[in-house]
Amino acid sequence: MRRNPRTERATKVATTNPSKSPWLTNLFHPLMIGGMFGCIAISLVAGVHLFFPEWNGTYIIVGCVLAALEANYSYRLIRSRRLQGGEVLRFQVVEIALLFIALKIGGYVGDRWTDVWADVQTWSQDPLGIADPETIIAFILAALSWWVSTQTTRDLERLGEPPEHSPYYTSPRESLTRRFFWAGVLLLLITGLYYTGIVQLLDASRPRVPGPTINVLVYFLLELVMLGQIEFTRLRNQWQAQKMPMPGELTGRWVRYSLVLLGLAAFLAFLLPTGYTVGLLDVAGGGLRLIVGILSLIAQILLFLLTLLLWPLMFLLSLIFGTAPPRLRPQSLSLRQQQEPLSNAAPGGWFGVLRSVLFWAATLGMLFYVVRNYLRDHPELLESLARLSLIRTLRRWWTALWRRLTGLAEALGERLPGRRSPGEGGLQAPGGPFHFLRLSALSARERILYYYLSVLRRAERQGLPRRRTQTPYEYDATLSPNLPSAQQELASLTQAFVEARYSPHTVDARQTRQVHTYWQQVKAALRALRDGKGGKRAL
Amino acid sequence: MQGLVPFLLVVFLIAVLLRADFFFTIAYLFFAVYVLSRMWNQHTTSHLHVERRFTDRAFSGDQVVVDVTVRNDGRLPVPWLEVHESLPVELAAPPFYREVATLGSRARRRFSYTLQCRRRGYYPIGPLTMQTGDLLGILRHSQIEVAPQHIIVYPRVVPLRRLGLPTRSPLVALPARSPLFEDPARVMGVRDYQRGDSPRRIHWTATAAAGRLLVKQYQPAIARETLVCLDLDAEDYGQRQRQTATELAIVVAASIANHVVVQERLPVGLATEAWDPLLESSARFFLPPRPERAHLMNLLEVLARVQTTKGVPFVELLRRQSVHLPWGATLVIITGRESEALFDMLLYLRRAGSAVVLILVQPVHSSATLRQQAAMVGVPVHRVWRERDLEAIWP
Repeated sequence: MRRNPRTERATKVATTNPSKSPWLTNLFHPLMIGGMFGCIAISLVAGVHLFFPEWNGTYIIVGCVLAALEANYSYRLIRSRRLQGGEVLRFQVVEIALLFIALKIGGYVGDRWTDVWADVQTWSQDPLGIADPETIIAFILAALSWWVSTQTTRDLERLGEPPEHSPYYTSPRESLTRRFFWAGVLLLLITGLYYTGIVQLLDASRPRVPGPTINVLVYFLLELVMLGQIEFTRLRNQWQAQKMPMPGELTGRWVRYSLVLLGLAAFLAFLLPTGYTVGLLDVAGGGLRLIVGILSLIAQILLFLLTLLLWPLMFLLSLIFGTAPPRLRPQSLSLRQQQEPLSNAAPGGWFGVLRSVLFWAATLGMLFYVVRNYLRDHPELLESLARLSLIRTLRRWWTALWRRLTGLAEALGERLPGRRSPGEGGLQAPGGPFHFLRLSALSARERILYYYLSVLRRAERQGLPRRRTQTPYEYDATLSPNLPSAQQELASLTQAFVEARYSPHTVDARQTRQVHTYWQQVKAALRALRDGKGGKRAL
Repeated sequence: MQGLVPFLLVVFLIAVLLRADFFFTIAYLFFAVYVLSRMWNQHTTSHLHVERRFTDRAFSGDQVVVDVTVRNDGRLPVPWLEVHESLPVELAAPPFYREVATLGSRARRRFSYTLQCRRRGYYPIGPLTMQTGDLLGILRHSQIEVAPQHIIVYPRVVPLRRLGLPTRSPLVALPARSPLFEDPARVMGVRDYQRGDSPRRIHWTATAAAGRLLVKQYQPAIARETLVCLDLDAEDYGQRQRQTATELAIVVAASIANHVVVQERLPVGLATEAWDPLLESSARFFLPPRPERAHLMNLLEVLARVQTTKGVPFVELLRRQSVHLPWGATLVIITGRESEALFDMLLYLRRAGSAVVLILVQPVHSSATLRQQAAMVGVPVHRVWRERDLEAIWP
């Protein structure tokens, strides 16, 4: 039996999109996409205004929004009517032509009728005059908006589909988020250039651009809302394809939690410092000068104390040899002088410096946090970075330096009475308030050992110590009745510890992450026990 | 989401280059969303607990309801949670259970599903994998794996109204002339204490009455004990019928053991060498004959999980286990193949004072020589090729 390709395609569409909310597809998505394109168009038109202040480009903004809305509608219309090949092409040519006509008409908005009529009359002599530069630019912008909107609608429709086995495959979610992000970057660049000006871009002493930009804020808020919506749609489609019923309250909770998350994030974002008066290098230089100042102050104090101690001796020597004793003269504390250049150089005085320091600390801390987590989440990237010869050389130097330093510390520790050498007893949990153990420096095996030993230490603090004669499994049997909520996790942690400690198996990062989860849960149970929420003790 | 971090870096760079304060706010906004999502995710994954409740022992044909409770002990809600429980294909179709949930702060959610215990075995229930993530899809989904628990499905027990096992007495123990074995439950009388007698044998009541030390005299006896010897050596079963025949052998062993303990209230034991999925290796099982029901359950537990193996030949196993048996014990030998070596061993066992029954569970026709040999040994041979044959042999 011959199959109808249209019917097949329709069936595929129906199976890949098991259920669609008409409210989402007909209203929410078009409005959001249209709104985002409108925000970009506002900045674009504002940019053109710099060169042609008399020009009214509002119609381009409206045109871009309408093009985005129309693209969404036409895409779904083509799908529902099951148009193919030449039919789609004809449909789209008509669409583009109508868009051009609409923009041409939009260009006349605000003009007098006589001017419009005069312009129309010139078309017969110069047909190319219809496509004047202004109309062409407006058309390119609107067509771009139409095309990107079509692609966005297509990707939204494909959310939750099973991935294709192709090396060039990009998931619709990736495609959408990448598009939104880079459109956002473009928006920032256009808006920034509009406020700064291209000529002043290289001028380092130019004033900063204060105040919020509404269309930028709206764009990014819409983008965040869309990201949440994309994730929700993707998961929903995936669950429905797998015939997993979705709880009814999930949609409402998703919206509520997303709003709370975005509200909290926006609150924090507006709380953090944005302006700085002192550049990064100035702040770093100031910090260095501050450290040098403190060190010199300490040296001066020490010198003064030494002089104070030696003064009686010098006095006695002076009596013997008949020379006058040196006068005790406290050294001047020059810390203030050391720091003056920075505070004087910064506009706004100390407050400006403090604000700048805070700003740079927050910014650099943030970048460090993001990059560190990114590399942790992408170990393959970390591996390829570690293979770079420069990084390898740096690591070798650092390892050699670190060994030298730790060797020095150990040698010092051995010479000091009553002190333990750092290496004694193998992997030790941090004891004192200033003893820190850097987990990231440990190997996967050592981390597992650390997690287990940490549990032992915490349990001991709760009055549940491990006896020296107890094996890990015996201790598990003793401790687990006290932690009813984490018995399985404790057993798994014990098992992982025994494996890491006594077996030659390779311990990989995935296993360490799993054990880390167990450790967190056992810790939480121990905390609950300490707070009296974990039931009775049974040791 | 791959693009967030590069995007954040680019936004920071643009903000620094253009010195636009508001762009920093945009970068902070995304950074705050990233950090909050991450913290939320870490908090929820460390506060999720799972409890699985089910009856971990069932008989073939039973239905077992498994209750899974997912508990969120944290203050923050879990926006979405995908639960995936892997199940053995013998007990559930499809071999998994999946559910989507959302959990509020300090909330719990209970799921339940039913296992159809169609086949005996030792099965893992799980592992259970929970997947959760952030609301915007900017982080990788976190996975929590909960270790599996196990269920034992006992083999099918066919009721046997009267087991025709050869025995020399309907009683539990037979009186014997040899004083080698004495039954402490059968006090025959008392006699004067002699040097070397165990103090445990002193009959204190009689001693008090007689005014001199008297010790109990026990009746010499032999016990009627049944040992089921199950052949699970893969070599003794044909390639095509191995699965069916060994399953049948196990059903026969379980049915006989059940009948001896429950109906006859006599001791029964088990000897076999098999693959144990619990130990993940071959193991020799020898459960000495005992009459308690708890012992029967232990025996059924072993029968539930054993699988065929390639190890020591069955005849060798019989030879090794026969030394543990008291005189007069009954041996029920269940195997798939009769051989000359087997009949030699049966003859040896008979001569050693054991009553022997041979049950063949594989439909193969034995040669005339073997049939003749079996007749000469005088061992009753039963051929059980289907479960209902068992009923026919012992109606």
